[in-house]
Amino acid sequence: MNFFFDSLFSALQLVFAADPELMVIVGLSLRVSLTSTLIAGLLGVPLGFVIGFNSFRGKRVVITLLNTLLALPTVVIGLMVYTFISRRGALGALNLLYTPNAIVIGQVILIIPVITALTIAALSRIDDRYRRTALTLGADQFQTALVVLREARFGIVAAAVAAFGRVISEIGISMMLGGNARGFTRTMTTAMALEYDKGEFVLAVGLGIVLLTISLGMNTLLNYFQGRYAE
Amino acid sequence: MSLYAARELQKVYDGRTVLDLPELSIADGGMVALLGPNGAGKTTLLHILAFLLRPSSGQLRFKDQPVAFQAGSLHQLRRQVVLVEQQPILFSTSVAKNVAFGLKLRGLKRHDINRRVDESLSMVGMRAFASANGRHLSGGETQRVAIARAIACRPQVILLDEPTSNVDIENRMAIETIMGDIRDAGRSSIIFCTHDVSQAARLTDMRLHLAGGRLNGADYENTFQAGVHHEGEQCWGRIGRRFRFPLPPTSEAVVRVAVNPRLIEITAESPSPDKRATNRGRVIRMDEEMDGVRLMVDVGLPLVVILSCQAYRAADFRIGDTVCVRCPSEALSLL
Repeated sequence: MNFFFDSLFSALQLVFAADPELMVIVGLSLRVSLTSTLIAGLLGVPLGFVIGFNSFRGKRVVITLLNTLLALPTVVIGLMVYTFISRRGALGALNLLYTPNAIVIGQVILIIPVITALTIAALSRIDDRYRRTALTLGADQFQTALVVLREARFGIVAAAVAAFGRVISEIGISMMLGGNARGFTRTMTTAMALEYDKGEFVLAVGLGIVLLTISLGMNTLLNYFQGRYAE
Repeated sequence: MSLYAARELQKVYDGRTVLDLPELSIADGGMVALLGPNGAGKTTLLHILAFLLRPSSGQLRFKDQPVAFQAGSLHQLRRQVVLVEQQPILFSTSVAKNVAFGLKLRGLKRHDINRRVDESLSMVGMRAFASANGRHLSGGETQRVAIARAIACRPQVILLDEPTSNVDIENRMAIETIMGDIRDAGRSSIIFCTHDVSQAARLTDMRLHLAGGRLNGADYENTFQAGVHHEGEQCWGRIGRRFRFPLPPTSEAVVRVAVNPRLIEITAESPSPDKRATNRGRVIRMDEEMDGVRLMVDVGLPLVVILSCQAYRAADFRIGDTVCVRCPSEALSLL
């Protein structure tokens, strides 16, 4: 038990002292994860909207497939992307392997189904009277879509927060496509795994504290805005 | 000019015809009431008239122009017609922004939008709520803001789906006054659905009765399902335990029948030597109507009888009086 509290105390010192190595790792993790979430949001929200807002043959099959992709293991994505961006792969010439961009590509693939499926779920909870009201007041299809999107905004932001939580805590893609290069592609989770291997728990615990704090902060912000504007 | 004209208009859901109108014509200007029981097709018809629902077959003309439902460019037509739903929903923003929504879509300038929002909210008595969140209003207030949102757009037609069915008496009176004000202003025609026959009679001079998706003629508000039995050559209809009336010959065991309230014979004494055709009942309610008096007579079921003012004065009925009622064949229509 002393060992745990000693590690926790040292980790807190590291965090409050803004240890340079810790800051670099946290900064890279945030940058990569936010970029992935932004790109996946720009692709996943419209995709979810097209699927959720329209009726077409095979819609339920598409939604079932998307829900299945939610359980896609990160190592499978890591392997798949690796075959494309390794030197022998189709995109090998772009030299993406073991760069932050490679991690972003993998993470985008990981969370597009998350954002798309949660956007569809958020839209399904929106009362159809919003759509009819916008139409009867003279909105065209695009303006009506914006009205529905606005009413579903909290669900869509929640989807983005869930997706961000998924990528900032994943390890498989970051390790396989980033390579855990110190100061370059070392993220919080890969650093924690490395420190654990080395038997150095202080930095690992410190990063764990930061990871949980970021997650707590994101969800607190979401709840605050939902409470303030959703009533 | 006819506002709406429909021919062979049908709406079918899962093989079930919910609306079937061989012909419908609604004139421009004024106020029209759509009456009928639940499931009569009133809301379906309003959604078609609002260009929100495509009919399964048939033609609809709006201001003498055919409506191309399949064209996908209906929003220009929709800008001339606004529907206020039975339970309207306000966007999750302020009341003023809700009312301004349609005006922004129409490209009005900011000061014109503010002026019209102010005017419309004043008209429905909700100006003090302009900055309130639309979600925090009561049902009656929501209904009034929804009407203001429609008025602000100054459409040719305002369609109201049972505007007073979910509100208290105070809001109901307010909404009826607003509807009268819109009619008097003459900017928009109003078509509204209601179950309330006396409300329709108070507010309108044109009433359309729907039953089972079909129009069954004006003022046929006594619509019932009757059992059929035969006594010799004569065919009789029976509703409930004691209300009976002669029917034209039919082989059906059960018929749907409409009784024209203006053609029912009502007297203090039996109006016919044929006792079998006479039903006794009690006057339980009386309302003034535009051109007469509406009596509700309990004959085992509530039967509406409309008397001219002259006939009413001559008969001098009072609430609680026992009366004799007879439905002559010309008052009956089999649906």
